[in-house]
Amino acid sequence: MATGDTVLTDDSLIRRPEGLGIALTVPWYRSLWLSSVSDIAVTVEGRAIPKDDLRVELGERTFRVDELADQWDVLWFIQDRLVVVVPLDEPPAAGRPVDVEVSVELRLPYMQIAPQKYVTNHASNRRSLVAQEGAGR
Amino acid sequence: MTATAPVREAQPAVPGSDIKLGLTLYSLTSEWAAGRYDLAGLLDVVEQAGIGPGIEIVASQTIRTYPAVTGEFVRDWREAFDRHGFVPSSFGCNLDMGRRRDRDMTLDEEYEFTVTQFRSASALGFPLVRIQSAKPELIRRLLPVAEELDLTMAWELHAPLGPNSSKVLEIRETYAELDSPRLGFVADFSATMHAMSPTILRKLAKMGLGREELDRLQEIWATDADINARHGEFVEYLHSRGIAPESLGSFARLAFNMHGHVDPAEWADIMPQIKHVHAKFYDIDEHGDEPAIDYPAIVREFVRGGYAGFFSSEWEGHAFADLDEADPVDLVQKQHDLIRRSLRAALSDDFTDKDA
Repeated sequence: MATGDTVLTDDSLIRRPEGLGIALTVPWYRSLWLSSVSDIAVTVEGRAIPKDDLRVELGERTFRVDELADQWDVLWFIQDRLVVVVPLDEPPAAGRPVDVEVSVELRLPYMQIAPQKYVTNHASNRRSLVAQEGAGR
Repeated sequence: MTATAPVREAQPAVPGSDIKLGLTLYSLTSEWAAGRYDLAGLLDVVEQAGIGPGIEIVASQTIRTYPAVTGEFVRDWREAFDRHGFVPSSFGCNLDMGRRRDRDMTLDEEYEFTVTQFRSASALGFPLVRIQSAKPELIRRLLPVAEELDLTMAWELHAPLGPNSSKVLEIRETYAELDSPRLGFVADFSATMHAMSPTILRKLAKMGLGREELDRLQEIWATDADINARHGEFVEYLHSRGIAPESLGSFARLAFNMHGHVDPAEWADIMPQIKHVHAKFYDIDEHGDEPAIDYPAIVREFVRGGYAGFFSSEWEGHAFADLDEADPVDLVQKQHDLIRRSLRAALSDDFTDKDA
């Protein structure tokens, strides 16, 4: 995967008490304001997770997906990971690969096409990964 | 603010040349994004590989507190530069005019956001800022700040545009009106490619395009229509072949707007205003040449035009290649060899011309 289409890495999955944490890289070459994230969609083992069930963590802060658009002052630094927390009835068993698909929609805030219209980027990765032991928060 | 350190000079790439070498850290985007290095580690790698001394950054990629810098960052940066003997070349600004969803930045906000970056650039010792907007009213307001901070402002001229594209002609007109030596261009060699890079063709093949489709893409690319028309023609062609253009993500469009095919001779038309160079490249072949960018021809234009400044190596293969598919450090070393070889040839041509 190249700079503009990498969302998941080998160590993206984290076992969390609530279920699964999915650590995302910025699918672009620079850091972006969280307001640049238009949407995040997650599918686990073929099941699309309702957006309202997802929580998005950046460092110590937690957001719902639809709150991201307002975060124009919070920088998603390119070396940091945005962790999407997916509630699952049962956390994935240790050592067993989990099939996840994550799509991220970006609006690139410095590439204006017309007033309030910007170049977008769609990045979607589907991978089967083993969840690492997470330290929680 | 740290006291101004004595300005270190970079040595010429080859004796008798006014061109100096270095790189933009953007060349190592994939490794940086993957967290393989912190900034100190990244600068160590550059020194060990001998691919300085000019260092350029894209601020929004390198600085965690973008658009501002902290005193601690400035201290660490200056210490590292002293230790390695590096010279700051260009600070890449971005203008995030769409950071808010409810409205675009006002002109005042654009000014403030840019001034913050100019102050960061100055604190880090950069002589030049790459700018992305050359809106006359913004440039006019920024010019006194550039004077105060002793910065050159250079608008990046990148594919699909060339020195004589209508948008660039407008900027040249603004520059003529303002008539300041602090205004100029960053020339990006993506504007003057003679072929599509094998790196993107490889990526598109991986995404499912066959030989015939890739041939047709290159034919359409080589025509002179504007990028929307060319992209549109290619999308139509994909439909006719039963291929969904979405299956290629943004790569079909990138093929057109990251690769331009303006004649390198056009650089001469703006040479006195070229203040910095993005020595764009995607690959170096077994003969030591860049397969899609004619370095000897381009370097000759810059030598003849009397360009004095950095060729900042910008390996952009990471836009198409996977992490570890290529080694950017090794490639920049080879590209520096290519630039030095092209410079020696151009300088000896020049000598022969004058002799004749």
